[in-house]
Amino acid sequence: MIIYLQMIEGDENKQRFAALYETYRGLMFYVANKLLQNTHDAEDAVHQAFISLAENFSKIDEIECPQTRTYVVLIVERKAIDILRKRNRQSEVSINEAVHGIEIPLPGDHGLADAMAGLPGHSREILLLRYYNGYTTKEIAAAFGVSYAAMKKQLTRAKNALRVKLEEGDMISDNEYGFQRT
Amino acid sequence: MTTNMVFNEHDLEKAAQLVAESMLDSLPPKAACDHTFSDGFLAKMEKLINRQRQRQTWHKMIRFAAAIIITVSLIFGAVMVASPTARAAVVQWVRETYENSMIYRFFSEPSEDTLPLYRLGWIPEGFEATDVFYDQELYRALYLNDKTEQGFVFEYYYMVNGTASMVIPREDCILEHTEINGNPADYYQELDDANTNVLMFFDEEKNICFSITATLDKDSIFTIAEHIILGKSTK
Repeated sequence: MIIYLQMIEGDENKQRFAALYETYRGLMFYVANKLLQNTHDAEDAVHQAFISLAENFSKIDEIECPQTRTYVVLIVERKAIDILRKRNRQSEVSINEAVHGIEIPLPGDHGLADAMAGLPGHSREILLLRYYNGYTTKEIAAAFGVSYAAMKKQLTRAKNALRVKLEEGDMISDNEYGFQRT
Repeated sequence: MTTNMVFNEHDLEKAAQLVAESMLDSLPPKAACDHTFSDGFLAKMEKLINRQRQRQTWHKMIRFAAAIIITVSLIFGAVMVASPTARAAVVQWVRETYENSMIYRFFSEPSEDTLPLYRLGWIPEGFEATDVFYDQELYRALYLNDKTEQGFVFEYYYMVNGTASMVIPREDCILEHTEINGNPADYYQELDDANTNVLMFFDEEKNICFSITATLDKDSIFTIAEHIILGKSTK
């Protein structure tokens, strides 16, 4: 019971969750609607995202900070992609791998960051949650509602996709990448 | 797929920082994201936010309940010394009384398998899962009934060596040694079902300990336990 009680401990949790809702619902709708181009589906994605945020609320420290802003954007992007996947159920291509998610301007390092920004949404979300938000594989698995083993594989696949992306950007010299080529 | 690019964790952190900054910079400010949400959406969100409040109610119910079950990692010897016999390979769990508590100590080697997903084939009418926690070692789901404000927690975990579960019953609580689907079980019955009754049972073949902690009567708890089936998450 200990872990669960910690998850819901504190009388201020409802107020904090309500503050999260007030602060980010508009932004989350913007992100979802950008991908889905449908008001009803976008609201559905936002609602699904808030359910996930409620289930993993213990991961959120400050409500208004770049980390939380990033976290909520990535979660709603994931939910929107899930809805897109349902729309394209007949597609032979795995939409998880194919959908690029929201457009992120290239950071301009001509290297790893540019490659990461250009990854499909699913891979990019996992890498950002892991390396920007600092969540463990287990925490990301919980946020996405998959098993630890599945998320471990997806993280490995995301890193492989990043390597491939870098190879594709081979017009840039090794020195500009700033890391080794073996 | 062959590739020879090498990057380390620090490279990934630096890159992720740049990507996150670029993403956040590209998003409009709050004032520019104004949207009039539909009544349906607002109603669903109100329910979700209120559910947070119900969780707190349930939390208090459990916190002050007579019977509390706690799963902890114990350092052997800190509470009591386990006998070498008890730790023999064939023994997966033992039940020991310590002061006012019952401690279940587990002895199996950690499993390399991911914890399987079980679902409840039957739950009492009016209940729905409102919170689920799941990782490689533990599954825990909270079910609530909005109307009656009753609830129960269903959880299970591997009986891994070095861990223990503790039940802290009230003095007038009745312990019954029984079986669930052929598996040994302990049932803690409070005098009043408004308090939390606890059922623990041990699937020794799968090496998993299940428990149901509930403000429900015995028949309901046993029926839930008898209908635990392997399958997709109920989340």
